[in-house]
Amino acid sequence: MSAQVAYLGTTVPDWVRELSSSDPLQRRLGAYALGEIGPAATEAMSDLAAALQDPVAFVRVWAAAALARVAPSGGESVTVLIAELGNELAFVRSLAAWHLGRLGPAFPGIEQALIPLRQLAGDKDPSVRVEAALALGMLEGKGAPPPELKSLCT
Amino acid sequence: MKVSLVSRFPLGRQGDGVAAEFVLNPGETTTFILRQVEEDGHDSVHDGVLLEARLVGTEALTQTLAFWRQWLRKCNYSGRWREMVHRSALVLKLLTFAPTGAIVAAPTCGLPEEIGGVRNWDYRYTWVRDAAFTNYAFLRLGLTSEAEQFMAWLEQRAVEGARGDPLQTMYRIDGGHELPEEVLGHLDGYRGSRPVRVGNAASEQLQLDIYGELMDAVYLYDKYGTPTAYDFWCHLRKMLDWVANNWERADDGIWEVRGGQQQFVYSKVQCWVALDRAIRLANKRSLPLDRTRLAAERDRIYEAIMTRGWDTERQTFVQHFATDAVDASNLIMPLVFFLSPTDPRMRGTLDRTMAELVSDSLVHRYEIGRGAGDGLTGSEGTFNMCTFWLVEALARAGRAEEARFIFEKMLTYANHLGLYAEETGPRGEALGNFPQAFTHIGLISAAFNLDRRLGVGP
Repeated sequence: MSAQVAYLGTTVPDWVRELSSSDPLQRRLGAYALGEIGPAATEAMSDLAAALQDPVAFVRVWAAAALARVAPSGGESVTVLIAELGNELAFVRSLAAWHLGRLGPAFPGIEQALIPLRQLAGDKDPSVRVEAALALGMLEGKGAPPPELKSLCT
Repeated sequence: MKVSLVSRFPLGRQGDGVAAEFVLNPGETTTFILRQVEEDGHDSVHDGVLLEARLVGTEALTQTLAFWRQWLRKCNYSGRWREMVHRSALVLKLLTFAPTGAIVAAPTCGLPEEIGGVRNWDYRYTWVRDAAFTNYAFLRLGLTSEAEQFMAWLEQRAVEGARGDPLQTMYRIDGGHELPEEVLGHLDGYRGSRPVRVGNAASEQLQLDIYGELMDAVYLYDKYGTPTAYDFWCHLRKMLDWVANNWERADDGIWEVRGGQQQFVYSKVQCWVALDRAIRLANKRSLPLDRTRLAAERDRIYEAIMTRGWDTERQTFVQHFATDAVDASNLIMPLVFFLSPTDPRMRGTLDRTMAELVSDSLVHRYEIGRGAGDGLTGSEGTFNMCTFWLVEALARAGRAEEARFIFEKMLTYANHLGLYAEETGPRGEALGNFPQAFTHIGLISAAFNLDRRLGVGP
């Protein structure tokens, strides 16, 4: 069955193989592609779970986001994304915040992310602050960014 | 040149390209950044800095828009057709090479002047003529900092010219002199238009008109920008001395014909401009100059044009001293104040040009097969710059409504972005290199002068 499922013409097993690539960009792509395939990629769950331990932070973040789409009931993704909100690299923090917002207010365990996201309001990086505010807007059910951030979204 | 495409959503290979499928929530945006990778292959994308930084793209876009809006605010044009004038100013700015101030004629090479034809040239160089006209357009719009940068570049070329050799007709954007023309035989060219050429052999031609265009640029910059420095003036004087000694030579002309040198009227007019502006500038700034000699040569040029460049029977100025063929470049005469726009000779030339070179309000630069040939087979489209010159000449001659009709019709030949190539074909298609500075310079100047003559209020 899984051979029928593909993203950009590439099947699940081939995307799983990308998770073992030596190139972090390829691993990132593999995780993203499996997330796009979604629940139909259940056979990739264990590989995505393993990718949560990837040595490269942005790969871990994309793997967590993909796992959340492949297996929406799992809480592991939220845990990893919250942990990455404290990453030393600003772009990783902003990426994790962005993904948390995209999980939506109905995602199991997402309420744990609200306080860490609020704490990012004082982050030294403006991109992180904006992403955190946008994510909070999504998770608190407003569904739209705060007015003061509107210009960044148009 | 290596480029990388940066996307927040990871891109996968798809055929010969890359693709990503993604979902944006309401209110969300995403950015794709196409960027040059440094020559050593290092790309900060691999450091992840740009890779995930969605807001970098948003910020870059915001900054880019802010930069161009801010830049355009310096433009002081407030007349009719403002959007098109602004668009033309943006084109000229984008044709400027910021590190040196040089201005290219067009950013492309090999786009044909006739589909399937042989007139396929490389315009990625700085023509003294085109750049001087561009400078005029910048000054006309109040964009003096661009003019200042270009004048610095021009001064370097004038210094080189003052060492004995005349200016080259064109240079590389870094000021280099070598532009060897080469045919790329392994390429088919745009829709089969061969040969594809890079480099430009016209750089080795003698084109006397460039001294007039250069001196007009210097004169205008002195008037609207910064007074001419003494050291620069000394270089210019040597160059003017050369013009006074050489204006009687045959040359290859503004159209860079490859069919042999002639006594082109346009070249003579511009030699007159060179000496005229020098005298005006010297008088205005009380600069030292052999006024007597230069004024005498200037007047000799005038008489030569009026006697040998005028066809009494056909009541028109001609392309060169040995032909009765007309040439649209003579439309520039009233624009450079060579003679009054209402002088009977100019009226006659206007009428003759419209009768022989205008096709449905668009202007051919000359008649192929008559006058000085360009040495090539085939045909070409109408020359957009000449159409705008016609508009301006008509407006200055008091035929403003006629000029307005042609101008506004010409506006419809721009593409959806308001851009023009060098020429317009019989079906309204863009021909030649694109977008071309010359055309947009003509648009700005024609709009400015036509608007003024139409008076206040559209």
